Amino acid sequence: MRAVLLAPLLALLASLWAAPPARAAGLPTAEAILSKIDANLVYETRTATMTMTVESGKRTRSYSMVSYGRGESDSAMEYLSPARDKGTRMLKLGEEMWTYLPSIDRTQKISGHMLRQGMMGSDVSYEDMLSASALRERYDAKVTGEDVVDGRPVWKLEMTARDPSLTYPKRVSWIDQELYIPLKQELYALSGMLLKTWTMSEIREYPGGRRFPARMEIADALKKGSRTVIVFTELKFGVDLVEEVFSMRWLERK
Amino acid sequence: MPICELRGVSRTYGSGPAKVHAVREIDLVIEAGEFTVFVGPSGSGKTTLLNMVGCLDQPSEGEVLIEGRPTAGLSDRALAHLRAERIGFIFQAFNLIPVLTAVENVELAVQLGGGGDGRARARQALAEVGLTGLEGRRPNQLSGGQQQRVAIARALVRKPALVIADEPTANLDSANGAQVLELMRELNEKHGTTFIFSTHDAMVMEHARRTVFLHDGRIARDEVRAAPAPRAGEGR
Amino acid sequence: MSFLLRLALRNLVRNARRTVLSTSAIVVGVFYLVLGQAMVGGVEEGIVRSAEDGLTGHVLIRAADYPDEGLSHPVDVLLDLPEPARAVLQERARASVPRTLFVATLVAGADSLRLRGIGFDPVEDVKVFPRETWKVDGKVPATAEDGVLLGAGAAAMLGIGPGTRVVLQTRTHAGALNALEVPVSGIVSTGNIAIDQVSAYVPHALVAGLIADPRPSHFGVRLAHRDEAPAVAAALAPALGDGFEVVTWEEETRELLRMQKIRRRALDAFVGVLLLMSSFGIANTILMAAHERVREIGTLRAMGLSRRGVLALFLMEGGLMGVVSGLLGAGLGGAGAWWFSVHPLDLSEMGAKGMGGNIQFSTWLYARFDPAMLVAPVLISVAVALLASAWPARSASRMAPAEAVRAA
Repeated sequence: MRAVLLAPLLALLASLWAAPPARAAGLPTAEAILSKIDANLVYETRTATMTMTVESGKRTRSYSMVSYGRGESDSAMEYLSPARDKGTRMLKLGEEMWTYLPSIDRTQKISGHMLRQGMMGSDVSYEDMLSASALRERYDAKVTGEDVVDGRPVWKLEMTARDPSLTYPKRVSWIDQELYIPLKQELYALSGMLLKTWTMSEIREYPGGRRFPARMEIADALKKGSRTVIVFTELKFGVDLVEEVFSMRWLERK
Repeated sequence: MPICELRGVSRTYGSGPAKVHAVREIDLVIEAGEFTVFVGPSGSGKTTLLNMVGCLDQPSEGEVLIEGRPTAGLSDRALAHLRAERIGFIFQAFNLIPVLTAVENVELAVQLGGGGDGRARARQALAEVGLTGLEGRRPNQLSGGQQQRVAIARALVRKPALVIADEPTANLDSANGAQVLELMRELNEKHGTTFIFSTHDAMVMEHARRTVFLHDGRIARDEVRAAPAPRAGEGR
Repeated sequence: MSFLLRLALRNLVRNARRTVLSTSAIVVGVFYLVLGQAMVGGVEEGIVRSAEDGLTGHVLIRAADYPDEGLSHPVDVLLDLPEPARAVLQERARASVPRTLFVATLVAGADSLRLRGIGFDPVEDVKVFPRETWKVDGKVPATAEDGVLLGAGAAAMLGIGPGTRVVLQTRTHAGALNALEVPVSGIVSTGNIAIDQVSAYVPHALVAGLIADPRPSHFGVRLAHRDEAPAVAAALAPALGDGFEVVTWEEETRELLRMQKIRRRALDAFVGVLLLMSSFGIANTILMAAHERVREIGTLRAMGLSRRGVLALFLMEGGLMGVVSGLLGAGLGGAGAWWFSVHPLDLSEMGAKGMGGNIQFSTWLYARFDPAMLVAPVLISVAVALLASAWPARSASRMAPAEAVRAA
């Protein structure tokens, strides 16, 4: 008789005690979620054509560019419009970055702290775009529940930085349960103030089962009306990219 | 000892064909107390001669001695000092310093000679020429005759040995001229100061005790009058 | 000699108008020289004071290889002052205070501005960085709750005033992003562009929370006199050891002061031209005087004035012109300098735009008035006048007396 009563109690106690990391009853682990996200968002090579619209309360500026990505560390980008910025190129190799301005025919190396600022005055910085695997290494991730975003069921993931030097001491993500895409991410300051909100939408499917958003929106939570919208008009993954693209020669070509 | 002695004095200007012999080989002795006149037409050299007697100019040749001392080789400073101490000047155009008052003009002569008590001596000199009360006036506030009398006071304030007067009556009317001349005569007799004039004025010539006629740079005639001439204004 | 002086004076007065005209260039030249020197001196003093009272103090201690240019204030190296250095400060400094400089983004509504944050000790800071030129609208914050004191230029750009709540976003000492919402406790015009345009004073308690570290990035030091700075800096360097650098007010202002030297040269050149012009005027005047007074010169010579005496007379006339015009020019210039030493020129329109946030420059120009600086210009004008009169005086003295006395 006592065993019958004790068993559920014990089971309950056991589940509370031995709660495996980042797992509440019925929810997947953060690990599992994050690796599935990476399968979608991380690529070896990618080419993309996109438009970026930067709103800053007073004015709106639109750019279109073509970008080449290699892994998580290397990327090359060229602006196609507007005319004033056409031909401007950027090259990032690991931790180093250069820009080339055709109007003055000059290449400039970008210093560390510039890497943390938004590109072209936008709200997106290079640091923001860390891959999921990188996040997994640097943050303590925990699935804290379920929610609905944009009508879709999501898991809520809370991440706390392991190292005080990480830019965002805290990040919260809402991951689409079916598509494994972070539909919304909130990036927080040390004090707990919300700094940025990043949403992904218009998820498309690509060869090999990959999913990728066609639209991203990053909103500055501190500065009213400040927001950047990126729309991918063309995306290709696994493309054989010519090595040349990730070189100074490509950067400075006339 | 003669006040002034000229030995073989010549003065030439210019060179070459334009050379002018203003004075040629003149020998002249002037004794103390003389009242002497140099007379002659323009270009006769009387002005030049006067300049040399007064040490305003140096001869090209020959010697000039003042009170027995030769003036050759004296520095400009020494000559200036000599003039200040021993020689007084009176000019046709009065030559008063326009920015100074009468008494200051006379005082200047004392100061230039390095003497003291200039103001007192100047007043006294002006009194002697009858200009008491006019000390504070500037030359442009004085008549011609008064100006010349200031000039006389100035020339005499230091009690020089020799007074050079270059046509002193030429710019004065006859009445003033006579007065001025009489004044000079008095001073000559009273103090024994030697007066040397150059003039065209017959009245002056008449009062001179010695007349040196000059022609073409040389002494043509040298006349000494035996008796003193009648006083100016008398017996005319 | 004094009678010559009287003669010289009388002659100058006799032709008063001509005297005035020919010396007017000296008056103008000396005026500009005196006033210009006072202004340039004032600018120099302003530059030095701005550095001393603003961000440098007499001596500034900071991390080695601290960036020198631009709005760059990393907080990755914070200071722990070693004991020997403390001892040096104790002995030789009047006061020393910690400061934390950091770069922050200040967000107010839809606008944001990149700022220099000046973390300061609300009680002690004024002992090293005086606030005599400050004009504060609102109040200087004393606690973290009071918020920040914003530079007037920055406040104007954002269109905010005291009481507005803003967000300060910055990086912590470790490198993470941090943001706090704080009120603006006041707006300050310090007169120093580097501060007014791009800086905000943040009480130390608030900075410590923002960068998650209580240590400062700088120590500002005030001495009994600024001349002691090099010696104290030299004493501090070994006491601090590696990892630190010591900067004096003189090093900070060197570049700007070098620009001042160029200004000084330009001023001197301008004045030199004026004085040269004036020397022609005086030379001409003396020459004319000599020619007009030929007979007078001859008469004086006849009366016993030597050649040297004539020279002296005309030099005196020139010299007197130099003295009087020099005194007049110096007097007017001095009066102007004194006036501007008490009522400064407001340069905020001029220097503010585009000077960058790092140049410490005061917007109010106080002229530097020092009676001693009136002496040299007067002497210069006398010298110029004498030089100008030399040749005409010489030619007057060389006139042959015999001809001179008979001149018309």
